[in-house]
Amino acid sequence: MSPGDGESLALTAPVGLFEADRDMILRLVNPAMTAMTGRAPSDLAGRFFRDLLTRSSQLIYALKAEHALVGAGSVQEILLELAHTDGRPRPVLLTVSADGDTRRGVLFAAPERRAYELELVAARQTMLQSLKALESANEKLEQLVADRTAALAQRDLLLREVYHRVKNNLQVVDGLLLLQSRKLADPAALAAIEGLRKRVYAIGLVHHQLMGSANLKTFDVGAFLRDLVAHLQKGAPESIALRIDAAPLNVDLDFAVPLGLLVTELTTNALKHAFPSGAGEVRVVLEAPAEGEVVLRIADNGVGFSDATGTPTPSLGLTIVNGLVRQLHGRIRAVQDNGVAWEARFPAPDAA
Amino acid sequence: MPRFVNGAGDPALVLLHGFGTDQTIWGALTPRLPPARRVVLYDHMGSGASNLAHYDPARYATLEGYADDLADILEALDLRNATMVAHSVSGMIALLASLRTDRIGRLIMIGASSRYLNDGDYEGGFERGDVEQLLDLMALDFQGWARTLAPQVMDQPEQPGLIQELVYSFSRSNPEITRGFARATFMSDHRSALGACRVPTLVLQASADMVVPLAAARFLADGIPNARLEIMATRGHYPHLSAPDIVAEAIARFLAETQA
Amino acid sequence: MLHRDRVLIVDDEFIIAQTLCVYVEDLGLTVCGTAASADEAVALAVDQRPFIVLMDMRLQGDRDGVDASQEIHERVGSKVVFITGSREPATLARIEGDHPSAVLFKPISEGQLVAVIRRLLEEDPGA
Repeated sequence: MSPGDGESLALTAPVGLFEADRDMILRLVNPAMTAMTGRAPSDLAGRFFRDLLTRSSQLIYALKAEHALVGAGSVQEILLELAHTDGRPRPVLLTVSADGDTRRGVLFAAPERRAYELELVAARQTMLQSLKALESANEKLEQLVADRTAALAQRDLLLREVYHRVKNNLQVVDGLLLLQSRKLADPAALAAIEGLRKRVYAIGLVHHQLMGSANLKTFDVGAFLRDLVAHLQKGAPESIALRIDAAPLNVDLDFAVPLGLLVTELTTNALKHAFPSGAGEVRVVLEAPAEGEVVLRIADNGVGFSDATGTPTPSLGLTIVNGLVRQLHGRIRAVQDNGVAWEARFPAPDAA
Repeated sequence: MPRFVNGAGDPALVLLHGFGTDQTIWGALTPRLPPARRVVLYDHMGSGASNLAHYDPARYATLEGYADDLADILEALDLRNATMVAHSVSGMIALLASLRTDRIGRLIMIGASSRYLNDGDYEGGFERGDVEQLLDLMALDFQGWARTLAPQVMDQPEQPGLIQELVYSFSRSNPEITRGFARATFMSDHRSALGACRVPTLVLQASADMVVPLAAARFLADGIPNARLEIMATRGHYPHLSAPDIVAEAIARFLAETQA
Repeated sequence: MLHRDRVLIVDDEFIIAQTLCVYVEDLGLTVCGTAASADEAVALAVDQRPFIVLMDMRLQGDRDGVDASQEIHERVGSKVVFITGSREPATLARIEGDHPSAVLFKPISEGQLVAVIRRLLEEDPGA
């Protein structure tokens, strides 16, 4: 046998081989064709190829293969079923090529192909189902997110409402103090009430800032102090100037209220005692370096402490100052130097 | 998307291919058609490469949806007294369309059938099980079907300026749509619609057509009031491919008869 | 014809209304009435024809300060100074849409109120 001896190849090939005319009437077949169809070669020659197919495959053949065979004379891998004489259809892949008016065809047994295709179809179904499930899960998730967002928005709304009411109530407290003060004549009493009103105002201002903050939790203490000092200025004689220089620093209510009360306390103290002549200047400075402590300085250019030792006179205000500083875990000292300069240092607040 | 090459001469010929092919199937016939005619080639929703987004399974569950599409296209092209040359399943689509619009002047059906399933005395050619098997095999081999339905560009014929092309098609990778069209086609029964057809009709049929038994072709011609049956001297389901001269000549005669 | 010395105070919080009364009287003006609801406010404004109305946003009843102010604007023409505790953009937009003469935010100090009232009196000498 020589390498070019195709005939024995055809005889022993594991695939069906045939030769037909341009009308696809079979002329030559190999033994494998007999195995696939259940028909002897003499029963195959002279038949139309399509007669070997099941009825449904004839339809497929008509729809997929016939026009290609009439036209170009070739088809590639058409999946069909042979109507085997034993009654069990055989899935095959048909490939035909043209050689002039001759048609040369191959039939591959395709049970694995069918199994593979079935798997593919099943896998695709599974994938589609998984996709649907994913979509559904996604929808649920989005609903959850929407619900949470709505709940948060609701909470924010309520929080704003709370701050509003607190502010309102503080205004009521302020009103009560005012009405009471109108019934008093004693200057000391009036001064005391004025002091109280200022402190209440400071607390109200913190809530005002909170209401305007985006996260309803923190705000810039610099802006707050500027508003506060402006208010204190209005209550002060024109001849005394209040200056504020505050670095930006994000703080929450727990830091701002004590700080605001401190500034109120020390500033009104200076206003009361530093300027018997009625003129002068009070500087408020807040430093907030990136690392390290927050420093608050309140300095006047007034007459200094009345006590010869240069220490402040004990009073309610001083008790409050010390208590607040402690509350903020800080420390404070007063220096007499062309007036009184208070310096307080605190650890920076954790406000994010 | 319509692609227009300016044609001449009304009334136009609209060529409608059948299931499993696209407009390139007309390649052998178009050069043989009367030169003074405007020719429109049309791909159904279900073939080629169209917009999957436009596919509405409910609309295309029967051939009515395809008939609606055809009527819409005729409207859009403003065709009047048009001649439909419809192969295979398009025969019924064209007939249904003629019931909806008066823009169709006459029908020419090639290898068409009003019902593919056998029904008592009626010989449609197939049992229900055969068609179910077809649909199953399509499910198994959808890539193969998809390739079949892929769009191909039509060669320009020797007579330039004759052809209007319409590409109207959908995603070839969706087996559901393919099967939908197959189901709509082969499970359908339009025998009751035949009597309502008002336009002159030519039923062209080749012998030994595996898809349409002669009895079904006879039934079709008998059912349409103003129709005649012509059995051609050629075989198979694609006479316009295997014997385009015979088909072209039959068409020309019919056009002359019906003063088109 | 509005009375330049009359101020109508509209606030549903009694203490706050009283506080505002004190501030107004300190200026030498007369409080011609206090109202807690929009309906009361409109009735008093129509009757008393005050030059200035101090209007809190939140009132008893369904209608708010803006509603009352719109009606007073149409029927009387008093200058309305809104008082609100809220910085909500929606609220502020509503107020702005009602041509307020001024807007004050709580907590209000006497100084702020005095400044606004004085300005309104100066801007419109012959009302």
